[in-house]
Amino acid sequence: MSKHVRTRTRAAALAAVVLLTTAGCTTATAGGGDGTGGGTLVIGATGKLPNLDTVIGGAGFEGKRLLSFQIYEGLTRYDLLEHTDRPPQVTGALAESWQVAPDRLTWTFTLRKGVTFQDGTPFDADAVLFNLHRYLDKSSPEYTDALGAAAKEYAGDIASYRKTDDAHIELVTTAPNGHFPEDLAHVLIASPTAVRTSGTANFAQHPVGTGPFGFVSQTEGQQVELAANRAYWRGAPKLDRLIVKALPDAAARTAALRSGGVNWIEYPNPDDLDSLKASGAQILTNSYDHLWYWILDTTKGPWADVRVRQAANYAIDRQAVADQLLHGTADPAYQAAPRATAAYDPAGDRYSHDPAKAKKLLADAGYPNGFSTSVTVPTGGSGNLLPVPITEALQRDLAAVGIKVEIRTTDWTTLIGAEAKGKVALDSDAIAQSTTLFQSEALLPLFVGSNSPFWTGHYANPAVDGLISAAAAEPEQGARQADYRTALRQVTEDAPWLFVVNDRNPRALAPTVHGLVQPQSWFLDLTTVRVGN
Amino acid sequence: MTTGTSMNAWLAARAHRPQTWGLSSNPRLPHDSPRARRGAAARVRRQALGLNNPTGRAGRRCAAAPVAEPEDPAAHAPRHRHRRNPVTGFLLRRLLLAVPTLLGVSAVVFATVALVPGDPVTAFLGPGAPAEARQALAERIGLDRPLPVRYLDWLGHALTGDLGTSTATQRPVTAQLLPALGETLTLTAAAFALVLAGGVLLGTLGALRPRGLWGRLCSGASTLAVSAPQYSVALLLIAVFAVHWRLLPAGGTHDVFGGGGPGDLLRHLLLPATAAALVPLGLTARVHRAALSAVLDGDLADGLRARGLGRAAVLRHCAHNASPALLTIGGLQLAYLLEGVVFVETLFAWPGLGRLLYDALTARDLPMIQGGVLIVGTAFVGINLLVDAAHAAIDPRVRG
Repeated sequence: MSKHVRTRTRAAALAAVVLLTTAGCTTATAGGGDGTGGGTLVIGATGKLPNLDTVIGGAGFEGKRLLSFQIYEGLTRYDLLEHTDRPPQVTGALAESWQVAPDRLTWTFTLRKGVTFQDGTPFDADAVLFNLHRYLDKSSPEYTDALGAAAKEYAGDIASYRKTDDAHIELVTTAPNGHFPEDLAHVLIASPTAVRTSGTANFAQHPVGTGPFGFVSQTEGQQVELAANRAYWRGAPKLDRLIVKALPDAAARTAALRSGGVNWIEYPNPDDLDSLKASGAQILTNSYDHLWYWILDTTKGPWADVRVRQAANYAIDRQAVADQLLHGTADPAYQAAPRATAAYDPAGDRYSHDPAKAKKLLADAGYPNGFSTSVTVPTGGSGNLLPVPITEALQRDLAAVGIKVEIRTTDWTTLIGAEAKGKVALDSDAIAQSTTLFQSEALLPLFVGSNSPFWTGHYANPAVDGLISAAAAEPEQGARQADYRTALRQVTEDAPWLFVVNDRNPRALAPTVHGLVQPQSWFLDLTTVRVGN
Repeated sequence: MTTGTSMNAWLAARAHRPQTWGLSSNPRLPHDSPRARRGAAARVRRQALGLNNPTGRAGRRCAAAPVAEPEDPAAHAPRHRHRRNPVTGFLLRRLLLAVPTLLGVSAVVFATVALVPGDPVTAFLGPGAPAEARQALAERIGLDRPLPVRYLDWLGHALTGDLGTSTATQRPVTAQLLPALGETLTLTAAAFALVLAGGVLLGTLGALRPRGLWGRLCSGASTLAVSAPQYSVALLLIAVFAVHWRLLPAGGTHDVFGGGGPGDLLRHLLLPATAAALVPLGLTARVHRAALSAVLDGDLADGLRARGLGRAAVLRHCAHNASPALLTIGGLQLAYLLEGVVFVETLFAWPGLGRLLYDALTARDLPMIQGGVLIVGTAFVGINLLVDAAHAAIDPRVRG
């Protein structure tokens, strides 16, 4: 045998050995723990992973749900374990309790004692002041524009803050703000020691909070690994490790779950649900404050007539969209208020599927033969479900009563970018989108207020403005929710939107995942989850 | 001049084919040392391509005529000095050309991304952000300044290695781009190895037995590889190897429960590299098969066979002569792989440049897009330079 032939033979044998060796190694399945019992939960997320520096995020609410809210806490938090049949209440986190003064501007928070950050730093009033300086005080060495810009969404109402003693913080708002405690659930508190050690610019690489899980490592853009915070003040979480992987493609997420690479995926494709169930996966859903809808231009053409807008709402078959297209991962929306909100009133479910009534309303409005219109639809985007197929289903229903719809597609960033500037991408008569109306009560006026800087279809109803404004200033939650209910009942009557479906937040879990309480919320409490047989 | 090199010159003249410079030795000449062979081959190449001809570049024309050594070598001395390092000169010219190319690309991308609808402020802060917050962020990332000023500012910083801060993640662009580039290059290299190995194997088998079973099978396989929908094939690979047989992971670069290492990386590379390699592999196989067939059917192969060379030796010589086509298509496919692995990266959760740039585009993250394009452009130019260098080293005509 010549030298060349021998060399080639060896190379071929080596290649074969490498291939067989690598192929022969079976994929380790997610769920193996490190010996302390709770196992490792590996979640396949739908989007990008966020910047881990407290409030910056930058990857939408999913990053906040799976990572930021696991590492950090605010003075308050959502109680996500108490009930699964009603929206969660805001409760104390780093603050045990709070009081608002009669001026409805001055809030005093009593801080929780005995809490430590994951790096061992004790939590106290100085830590709160440090974080508020970092977010709101441009002279603070730890302040950055990115932090300031991101924090303004929830802490923008804070006019001043001070420590009254070691256990109390006083915050003064610029105007009466009844939902201030809820806002503070999003103003996350970081360890001052860790921020100073890492430097504010690099803190995202070494985040430290007081949450149930502490940061271990991250592979930029790929995954973040957290470990249980054994000293967590509510009790250590059952899991040992929590790993969140970015898997933006739905088919890849499903494959990852079925191959054992992850043991939990967010938003599986509705078409995959049956096969996932057949393979033993658990499908969990629950309502939250989501609404998928069209915003109609209430000043343009036939849509300016409330009867036409109501006719469109009677013309569409929401149940078919929810059942056949989304395979039960959504509920039909017959009114403006999403089901999983305190503003929802079952008696207010108004718009059933009634094409005859739709045709009569169109005829009464002077459009017996219908009309032509257009809608801009995003091709994807957080919470938008299957935007184009849903719109095509609505297009068929509307055509049946004479409303001919031209569908114009664009990407989500373009659509919301134009909307934020008070415009409609592609200059249509309507836009299709989704939102979480009550993710923060502070945002509600942006959707239904007449002074919203966003494109709201030029909807303006002084009665709704008054109710929303009164509710925002009302510190008593029951009274506030009653105002919201009345306001949204009026919005339902005015029909500036085509109400379509409320998402049910589906996720698929491997059979080995136990203990998840799926609340009526976008957010999750993972302290009860464990992985094991 | 040896008998062998005369034969080569004769073959070159007969074939009128540019590849003929590749025949470099006569195995039946026992006194033929490697050095002598190289020198003789170089002379033949130069003669065949007309490089010793004072009229310059008419290689093919001159190759057709009997060629003699120059009568007065001194008369051509300046030309030889000028061409002392033709490959280096050629590469330097290409390198200089790369500078305006990259500048042009970055300027066009900067303008394009800035002018398309959608804005990074809304993408980052969400539609519900207060106007003050929006204004603050817009000012901080320079959206209040004119486009040319922003571009020049970016360019100035880029020249110092500072590609800015991502508007979407608020992290330095280079801190995200460089690891992603490493991942993409890893995937590209693995896929390219498959492309070359598979392409050459299929192409050679197809060329050797064009009408036999192997030839037809290889031809069918390469056609299938070119026409197979990449997305479906990738899903099929995942379904079979990751989901059904659980032999390989469905995505990622390492096992979250494993210790990493080269073996783990190789397991994670196999499926995405195969999915990414399929189309370029099919193309490479087809081009290589056509080029090799042409040489095997030509006068060169006839001459070699007439001289009694065995099949393996004939194939070796012919493959050498068919290699420029392989080099050209290989270079193109390497560039295609580098740019075209976006969806493979998305589907297999491979944290490379393609996925990073896709995310950046959807978030209108201008600094990230700019930095990414600059890095991809630089890598593209670098790959082209390497391919050109290889090409120039073996084919004097491309040195210009």
